[in-house]
Amino acid sequence: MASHNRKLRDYDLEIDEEALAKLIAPVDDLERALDRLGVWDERSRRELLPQLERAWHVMRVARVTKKVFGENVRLAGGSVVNYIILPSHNEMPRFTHDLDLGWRRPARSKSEVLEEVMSANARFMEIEEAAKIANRNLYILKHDVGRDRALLPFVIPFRYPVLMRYTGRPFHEYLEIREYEVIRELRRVFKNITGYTNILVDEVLVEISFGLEYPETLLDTHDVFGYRHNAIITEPEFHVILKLKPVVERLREEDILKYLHEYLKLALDLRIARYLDKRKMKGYLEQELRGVNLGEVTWRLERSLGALKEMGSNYYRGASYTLIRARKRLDEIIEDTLAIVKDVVDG
Amino acid sequence: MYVNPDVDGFFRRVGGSRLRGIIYSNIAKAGLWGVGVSASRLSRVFKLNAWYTHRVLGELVDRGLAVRVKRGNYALADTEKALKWRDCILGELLEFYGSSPTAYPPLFTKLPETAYYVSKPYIYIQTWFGLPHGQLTFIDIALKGKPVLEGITWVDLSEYREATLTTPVTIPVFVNLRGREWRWDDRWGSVASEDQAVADILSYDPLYPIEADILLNFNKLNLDGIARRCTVNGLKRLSNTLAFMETWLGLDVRTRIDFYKLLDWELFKQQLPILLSYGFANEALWRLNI
Repeated sequence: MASHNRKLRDYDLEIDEEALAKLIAPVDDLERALDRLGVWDERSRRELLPQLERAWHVMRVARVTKKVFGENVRLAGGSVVNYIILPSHNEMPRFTHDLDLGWRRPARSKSEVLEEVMSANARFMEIEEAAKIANRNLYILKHDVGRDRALLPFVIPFRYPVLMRYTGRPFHEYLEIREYEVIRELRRVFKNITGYTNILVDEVLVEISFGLEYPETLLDTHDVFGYRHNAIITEPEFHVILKLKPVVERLREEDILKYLHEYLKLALDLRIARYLDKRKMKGYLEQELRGVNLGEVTWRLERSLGALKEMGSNYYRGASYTLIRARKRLDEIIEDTLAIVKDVVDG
Repeated sequence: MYVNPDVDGFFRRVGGSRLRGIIYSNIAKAGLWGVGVSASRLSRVFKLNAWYTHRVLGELVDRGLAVRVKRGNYALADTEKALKWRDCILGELLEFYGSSPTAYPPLFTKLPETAYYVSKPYIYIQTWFGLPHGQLTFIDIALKGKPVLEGITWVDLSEYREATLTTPVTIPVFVNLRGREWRWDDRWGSVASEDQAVADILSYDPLYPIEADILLNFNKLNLDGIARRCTVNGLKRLSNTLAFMETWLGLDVRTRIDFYKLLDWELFKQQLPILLSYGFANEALWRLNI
């Protein structure tokens, strides 16, 4: 429908406020998470709220997809490590903004998974875990075709539009509403639910990979917001080795500068290794790095993390690492990481 | 409104003015089948002034050429004078149809425009795949059983899917025309409005890949209007297309329809090859491993 032809009656403005309220991050949840993480300074708390709100949505997607896909998916990637496992060991998370899911049933092409995702979207609508606002569906998975071109043939990127308080585009801009009566009515609804009139819409990135058989384990613990996750995840020992693999396998002097930020993320995620089974990790290391001498692993990691120590402090000043920065310096983290990896390699 | 000078000239020749020509020719054609013409439908389809339409029809009654069958509905009078008048007008009509290179459907010479229309979505929106072989023609159910299709190449709707068509044919659908939206166009004859045409194709023409046109034009189309005019099957086809557009192509679909609730998986399996080939470029399907 051409936007200039639309009238008030063309909009479906019957919104179930109670159902919608469940889809927006409650400030109480975010405040509780800050308490749990030990952030007491009022200014830091205010600055961390936007980051935590996004993390809340990432964790919500993880819970909802589990509800809809059941045992067909496993949780994977940095968000599980940072928002579930590390906080349970009293470690600070780095903020990561996407959710990685692994498709556990056999699939050869993206269309097989996309069919299931379409069915899941229908289910989201059915169980009111999605919302229709001003004739547009939110809280559903939408294939990001543009970004798909840049990814691997077995990874499907999705956009998941959500309502947020702190980041995103104004709702009327995102939903392309130009009729003032409609905007006013929606503002009233949002005010009732959140206390904010100008709510924003942002997109959480979700990636589903398929056709990969990774070792798995069952996770049954609470995330940083206190929600329980009972889900299948990629075994953390294997996850750590997967992160480490490209760094030690394809280290080239001329590329070091390009990958500094990746090295930083690796060093921060490797903090988890001290809570894991080191013998298992060594086994996976030998299995995954067939062409590389284990003695070289430490040397290559020292080389890349050394470069990070010299030139990467700028990246460590980024907003995603605020919580960790308050506790540890970059050189301490790098030293810890090297010590852990040496431990693993020496067995 | 586009006015074709040939067509305008014809109406003026028949009635002295465009309005009178339209009314005369419609009453004459309706006289062939013994059915009436609704004055309000006439003014709506041809965008005529309603007051003048009633006045001219009243004049025909006064002249003994037409009779008022019910309120606002007029038919040809059953008199020798009226029949002669009818034959005279139909002669003009046949001559005009034979000489004018128009795209009118063959029913133009037989039925009043208030009793039939043709669904042609491609006259409103960009289309990727040319024209359909079948011309869906919706005829007033009051004419069912009458030999209105004599001399016309037509295929029954039930045989259409299996028929091997080499030339464009008429596919008649006898329905109640109440609530449907169509109009006269000097270029195309009696044609459905944009929403109605797309809804009709979705509902009745399984062979025409209207999904491709919806994909290409979905920002321009009034999806709610289309959905209102669809049959149950058409609505399922539309819902599948919209769900595909949102989930698979990541497009922003704006509509009041809860299309995820109306998904039909059996139908979707049939539609998927079409949707995929029109939704993605040829090589992209393989390159992206879709």
